Amino acid sequence: MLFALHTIAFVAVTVYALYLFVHVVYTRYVFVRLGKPGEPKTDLRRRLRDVLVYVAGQRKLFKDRKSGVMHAFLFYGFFILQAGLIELILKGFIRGYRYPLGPLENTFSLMQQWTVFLMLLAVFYAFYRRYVEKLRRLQWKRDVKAAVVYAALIVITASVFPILGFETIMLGENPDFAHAPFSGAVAAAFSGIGTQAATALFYLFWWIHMLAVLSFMVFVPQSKQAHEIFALFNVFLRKPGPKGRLPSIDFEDENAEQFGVGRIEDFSRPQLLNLYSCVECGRCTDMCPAAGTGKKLSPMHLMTNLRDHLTEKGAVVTSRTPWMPAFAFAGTRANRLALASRANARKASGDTVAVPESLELPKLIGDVVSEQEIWACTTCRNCEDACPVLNEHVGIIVDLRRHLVLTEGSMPAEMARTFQNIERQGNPWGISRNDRAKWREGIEDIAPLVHETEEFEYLFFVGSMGSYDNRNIKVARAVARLLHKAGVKFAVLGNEEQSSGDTARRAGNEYLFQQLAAENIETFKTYNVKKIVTACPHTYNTFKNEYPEFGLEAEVFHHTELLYQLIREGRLKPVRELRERVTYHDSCYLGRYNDIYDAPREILKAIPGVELAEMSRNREKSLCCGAGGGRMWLEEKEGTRINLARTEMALETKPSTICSACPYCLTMLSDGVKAKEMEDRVQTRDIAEILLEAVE
Amino acid sequence: MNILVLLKQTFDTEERIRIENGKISEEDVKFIINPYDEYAVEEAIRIKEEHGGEVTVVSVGPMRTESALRTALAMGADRAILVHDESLSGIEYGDEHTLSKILARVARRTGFDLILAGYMSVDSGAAQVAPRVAEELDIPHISAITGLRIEGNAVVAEKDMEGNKAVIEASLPVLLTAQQGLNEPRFPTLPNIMRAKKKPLEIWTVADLELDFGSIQPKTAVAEQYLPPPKPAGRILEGSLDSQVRELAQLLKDLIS
Repeated sequence: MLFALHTIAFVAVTVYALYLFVHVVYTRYVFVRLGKPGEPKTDLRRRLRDVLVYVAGQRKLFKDRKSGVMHAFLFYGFFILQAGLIELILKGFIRGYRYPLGPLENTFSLMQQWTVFLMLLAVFYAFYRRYVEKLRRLQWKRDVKAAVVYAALIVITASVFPILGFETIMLGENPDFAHAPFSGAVAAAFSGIGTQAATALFYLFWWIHMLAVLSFMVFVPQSKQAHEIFALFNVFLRKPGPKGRLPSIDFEDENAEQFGVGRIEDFSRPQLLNLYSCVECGRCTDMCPAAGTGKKLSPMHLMTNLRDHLTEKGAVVTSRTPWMPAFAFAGTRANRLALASRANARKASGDTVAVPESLELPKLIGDVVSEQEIWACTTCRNCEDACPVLNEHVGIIVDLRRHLVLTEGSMPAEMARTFQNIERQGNPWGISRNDRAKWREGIEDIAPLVHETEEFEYLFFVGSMGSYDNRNIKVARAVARLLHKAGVKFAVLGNEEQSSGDTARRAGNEYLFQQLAAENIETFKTYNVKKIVTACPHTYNTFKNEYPEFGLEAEVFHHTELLYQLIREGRLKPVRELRERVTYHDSCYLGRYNDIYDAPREILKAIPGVELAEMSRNREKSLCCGAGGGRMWLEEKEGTRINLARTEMALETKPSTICSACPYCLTMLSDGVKAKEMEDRVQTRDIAEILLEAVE
Repeated sequence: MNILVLLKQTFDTEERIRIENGKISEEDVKFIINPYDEYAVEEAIRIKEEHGGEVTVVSVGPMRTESALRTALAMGADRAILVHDESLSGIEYGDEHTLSKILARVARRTGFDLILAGYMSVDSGAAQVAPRVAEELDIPHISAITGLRIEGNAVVAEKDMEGNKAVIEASLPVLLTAQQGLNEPRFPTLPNIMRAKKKPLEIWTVADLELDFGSIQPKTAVAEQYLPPPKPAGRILEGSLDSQVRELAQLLKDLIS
């Protein structure tokens, strides 16, 4: 009788839990489907590789080694534990059941015991990191859910040993310390209690374990633990192409009324999947230059706010209750909205029912995400680089900017002026485009115009900064001198050059970007350009990774790549000793976007006397200078200044020179050094200027 | 409310002026809405958004002016009129007298409650056309305003006065000219740019306006156009204070003699 009740109860609870689990996961799947279809799924090999590296290999997690090791134990432990779950369940119905593994029985037992033990330790360490060590990134999202996860995992793991220990006593066996050390210890400790008591305790812990497992299964997809289900698909479905590439907008449709993302369902499905994959681990916000300098933008909160909004919007659109069991979470806003939406549908079909709740939701832009947050992003990709589930925050922000700029015409006044200047004169200041070639004054013979020279191997694309900004004109001239010295045949476009469009694109003006791209590519074709070299990582990135979509076929080089190649070929010989302690600042668009970390360092190492000092945040962790994503042209009034934060990091290395390889970085860092009143002691220079001094 | 905006297309303020054959060359030049007129367009649209009505932008000039009118339509104007014909291009669109006669006639044709314009154009800079139009129409005008409130028939405008602020009241119909600071012109949205392509843009001729061509002949003539002489490099005087002063005095004497 009791056994029948036990069996019926278990089947009922399991079926109910499975129903809840399926409902919850399917509901979120339906919500994600509200988005627009993503780009075609090509490149299956890369996707599978990503899954191997980032899911199975846990690559990103090891950026934080301690948490990485902890997570790996839980991740792999989970699978091993799952392998033993059926055996554990059957033990509740078949006395003394063991998998018929023959000679492997003991090994399996040992493996299970140690796995459970190590997982338990890992959970305690996780608890320690969050609540005792108070790791900064884990303090930003404070809710009870993280504690629930620890409690559930402790109950699930810790209950295994009493189950097996009391089973041993129940079966009248001796503790097997060799193959079941931990449950053996339980059996030994309680050996005197008798079989009847042991049987009762066996079933007690068996039920505790099963209820904990089933509840946790229902809880997982409704919490940050949803990443256990969604992260795999998130990694697999990531958009193809180079890092940080932005999908283009098709402007052919003349009747389109809406561009970018103004409502949550305007995002693509892979983007919405990002939201449910977020682990709330805070790694993104921890690295974010905006968040780090007191701005409201926090990539993690961006993700979670969007996610919660999607859940509410999904509830309204589909009438599905996202929080289950629905009766237990009747008070949640999303569940109330789902019920109100159901009532609304009945009312629409003629029933006389009251709609209990207003179905009006907060506005995506303005309420869920503020314009202030949207414009604070420097598009540096430090958040994306840190994200263990490969979420793409920057693309989401640019989509929101696209809506503001193209659909609403709403943006900071400086941004509108910058767009207008680029539109009219091809540069962000609006200086006459007929003055673009002025930087060449006095070196016209070494930097000829494309139509003045018969043949050239490289087009040197100077960029707006190199052409007009007094400080960066010196860099452009240094690059020209170096190329000339190395005997590289090159030419420049002069007044036929204009903005690459990176600023326009990152700031959301896709229309202007595509116009510029088409015109620039046309110019390149006119002069039969085969190779392009530029000293600007932003130009480099957009030419190399984004222009091909619009028809560019030329090979693109950053000046650090070409200069390093010229040194290796012996065409540039840095012979003069420079007694400098140099710290090199990685530009986001060179480093995180294009993985160029070594070429600039190798150039510096090739210069006699140069001592290279690394900053605390270097290479893929490098802190943005604050100028990317159009921020160069906007005021920075919120919080403290990003360029100062970076300059302070640079000054900590006690350098005599801060070296950069990007015109924006150079401007921001030299402003930072001036603000620190250190310009008499510390120089800020582009790598080309340093190299030129060494070869002369 | 029926709002008329007088608009001129000018060179982009950053364009370099080139003289060819004694005339300013328009080759390869980027044109914009005269920046002060852009404030007028923006203000007109804001008034329409608040009080309702229709905004008509009107210009006299060559066919290239269409792009400026289209921009105004993309910003939110409803209708555009360009006065253009061969006889006008023959006299190079005349002078302030010509333009004010034509624009006043257009205003009579379209009707208006309020006329807005830039307080001057950045190219010729005479600041005459709009006040002349007011005179032709026998309505009051307030020039170079930096603030505006309209309630019913009452118009309250603000303008800067040597660091102070003057508040001037008038009633409709009135002509107002915009000074920098009146507003921040909007950035046309893409759907509006697309829509603007389909909005009506009418070309009116002198004949359509039933104007006597003789009465709109310019009253002034351009005698010569030339670039300002290049600025010579500055000099820093050296030597003792006395000798510097003597030298400076001599240089100034030379300059006026």
